[in-house]
Amino acid sequence: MTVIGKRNIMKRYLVLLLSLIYLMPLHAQQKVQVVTKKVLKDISYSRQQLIINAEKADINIEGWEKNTVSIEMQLISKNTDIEEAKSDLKCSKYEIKESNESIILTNYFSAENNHNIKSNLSVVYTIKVPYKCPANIINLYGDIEISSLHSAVIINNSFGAIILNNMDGDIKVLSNYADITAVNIDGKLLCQAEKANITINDASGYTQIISSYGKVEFNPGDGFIGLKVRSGRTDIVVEVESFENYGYNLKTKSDKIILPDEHNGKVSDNKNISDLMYNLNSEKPVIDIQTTYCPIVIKRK
Amino acid sequence: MKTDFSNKLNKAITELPEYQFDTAVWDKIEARLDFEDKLEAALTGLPRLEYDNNVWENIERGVEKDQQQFKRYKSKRIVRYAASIAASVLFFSTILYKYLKPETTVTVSEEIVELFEEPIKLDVADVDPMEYINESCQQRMEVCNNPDFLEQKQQLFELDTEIKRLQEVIESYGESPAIIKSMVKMENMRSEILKDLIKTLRS
Repeated sequence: MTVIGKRNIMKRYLVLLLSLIYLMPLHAQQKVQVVTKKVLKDISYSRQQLIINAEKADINIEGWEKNTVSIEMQLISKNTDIEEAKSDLKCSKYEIKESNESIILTNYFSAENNHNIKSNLSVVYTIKVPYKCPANIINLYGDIEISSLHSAVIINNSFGAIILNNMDGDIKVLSNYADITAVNIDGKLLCQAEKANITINDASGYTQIISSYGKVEFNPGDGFIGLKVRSGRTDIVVEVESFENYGYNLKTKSDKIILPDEHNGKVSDNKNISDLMYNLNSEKPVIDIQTTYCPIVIKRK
Repeated sequence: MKTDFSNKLNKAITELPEYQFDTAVWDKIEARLDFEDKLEAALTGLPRLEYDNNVWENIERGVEKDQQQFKRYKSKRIVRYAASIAASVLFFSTILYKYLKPETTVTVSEEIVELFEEPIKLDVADVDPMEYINESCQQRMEVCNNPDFLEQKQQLFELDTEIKRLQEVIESYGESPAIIKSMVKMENMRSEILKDLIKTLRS
């Protein structure tokens, strides 16, 4: 066979392959109708607490300089049939209550007269609050993202994600199967997590983690005061600029403590317990970790 | 004659030994009389009691009970004899077994075990994710019938079965680091799959 003949065959295969790639997503795609009801409300802020009781909601809260709480709620209904999507949207309910102490936002799903919900219903909250507004947020099957708040915040989420950015204050996070990602957190952060992965980067202030299963990845930033982890069956990885910058109180049962190569000799292994106590009498911030059946890894950035 | 007798009597009296009476006697007599008066007064103040008419019936019942206890004692004695014989048989068979079995030694030592809170219990919401998945699947058949979704659900089922099996092994034979580590791996895989399934259903 000539070189031109081979090229022709290759061209045919290429055309066939491209056609298949082009056709595949077309075959898998489905047109979904999205019906959205938007609720907008601005409330003049007078030191109230923001309370959210949500379900199947993606919640976005951002701190701003204005003395107003800006609320946008999108009630969404998705279905291949637009009439069904519209009809089911009526089952997505919400409430906005305000008093001198609090602003309470609630959403829930309720079908009346034996109506069978066939659409995918969800809610998106986009809220802007003054920086100092305290918040208490409960959500189920949805994500919570908060940024730029300098106040007391309590978050309780199951089966979603929790994302925190540029926060400063007393922050308490309760997570059930909800992965936590926190960046640039100052003040006091307490995470209690069940079967979640926790990633905390550039942590200033003091962080305490209590967890069962999952993984913790932590790296301290400027102004870091200390880390305390009390975990069961949780992998722990801490990334540090320099090993000598911190004090260490590490202990794991039935697994190992892994340090940068030149420090590995410092770990004492007794029976099934590995532990390290190092630099504890100095003024340096302490990394205090206890876990079981999983390793503790301290490594350089 | 009469004067003679008087003289003799006077003489005899003068010869009689002299006794000085004890001055405490009258005090004792007085005290005894006082005590009797007090006793009499106290007796009048005592309650009057009549005996219980059922006393004899109670005594008879007590006797019957004693007889029953005696019978029980007899049967207990038989049991004791039997127990003594059994203990003797056990004792001698233990000695025999000791001579027949291979030599073993048992040592006792102490270990200091570090106490870890294990596993950590957290106060989290009591939510059943399978309830959400099944409910959502009724509304979104097209998502739940997708081969990837079905494969993940199958993996979840297999992991659940495997975790249950490991829990049974732990219950029967106790924990071991290897078993717990396998469990940790599976629980983590299970939670990742659950999170993925829920994310797919939410999208």
